[in-house]
Amino acid sequence: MGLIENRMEKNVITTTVDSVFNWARKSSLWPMTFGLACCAIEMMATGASRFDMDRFGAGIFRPSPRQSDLIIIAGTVTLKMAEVIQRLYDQMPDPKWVISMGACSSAGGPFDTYATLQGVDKVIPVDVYIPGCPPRPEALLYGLMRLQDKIDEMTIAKKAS
Amino acid sequence: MSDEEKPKRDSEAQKTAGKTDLKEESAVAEEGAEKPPVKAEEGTEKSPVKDKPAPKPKVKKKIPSYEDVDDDPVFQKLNEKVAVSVLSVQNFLDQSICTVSLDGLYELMVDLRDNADLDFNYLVDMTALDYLGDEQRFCLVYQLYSYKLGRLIRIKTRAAEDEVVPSVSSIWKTADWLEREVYDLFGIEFSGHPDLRRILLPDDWHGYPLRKDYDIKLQDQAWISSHLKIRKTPV
Repeated sequence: MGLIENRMEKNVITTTVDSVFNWARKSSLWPMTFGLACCAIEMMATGASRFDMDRFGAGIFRPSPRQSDLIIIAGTVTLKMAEVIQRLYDQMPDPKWVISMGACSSAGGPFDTYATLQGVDKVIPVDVYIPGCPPRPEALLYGLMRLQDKIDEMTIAKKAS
Repeated sequence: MSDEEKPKRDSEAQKTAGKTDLKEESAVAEEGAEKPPVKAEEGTEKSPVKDKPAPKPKVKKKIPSYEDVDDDPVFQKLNEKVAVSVLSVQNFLDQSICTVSLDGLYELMVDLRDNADLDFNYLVDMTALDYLGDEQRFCLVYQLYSYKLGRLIRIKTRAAEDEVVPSVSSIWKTADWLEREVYDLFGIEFSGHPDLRRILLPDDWHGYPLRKDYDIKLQDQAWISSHLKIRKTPV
């Protein structure tokens, strides 16, 4: 530290590679539009101007899974749709994250029936679960921030196994 | 609201008898200013005699029920050949409900649509009911609307479990998908249907969920294991 301290000009910052990568990834989470049911309305409201999701860098909703790094499962997942979700998740490039928004995608919600998947985590790994029916936009933003905290803990180095 | 009204009524019984609530409140506001003289005059005279406004005569509410009618204007105009299959015509709260036998169903539907006076050219909805245990288990319900008459009628037929029902999709195009839905959820087959396959559930699902002997939570495990890769969820 003594060698480089106070030797730089004012507009040079020192940091770790991990924090740079994590900062870049968490500040530009581009979600895929995957609104299935009523939670989609709240997701749209979160993306709109009052609860702007774009101030977190996450306002660009990509239509294609190949161009997105986050998928927000907003709504009830039926068995027929679960097959599609699996395919879309497989098409997303790494690093990818999943937010399960609402009660239906987290645990089946009030629909414990023959056609509903009881929780989307039965088919894809979920990072953040947001309870609510539907969760308020502030709740979705809080979930997004918690995901950002989770991304902060990542490292690009190989972990000792 | 009623708790507030009662003490007010005692003091201004005559004036408020028969008045509406809004008028009562404005009457209270007016008379509040001159309360002592009003109270002395009317409180002593009227309160022992009349505490409440005059009781309204009690009208017993008639419980609605299905009533058989003979003179329903729609069903009287039907062709005689077709009218043979009509088992009963009922009226429930001004709704017309007609029960037909399955044999004459198709001809009846054709007549209802083609009859110039009736002109039921809009099939609003078609569903089925499952009376498990009955010999004729299913009850098919057709709702028809006529723009000419401005009336909605209901046609009901009974069908047994493996009985094939004539399709009305050649009469009304919308019956195509409505019958597919009934087939998907009840398993009732329709003859003469252009494309009878499942519409809501996946094509290779086994079982008919809206039947009464199908458990609400029962999922087709064979379908799930062949189409989905279920992960072991972390506890």
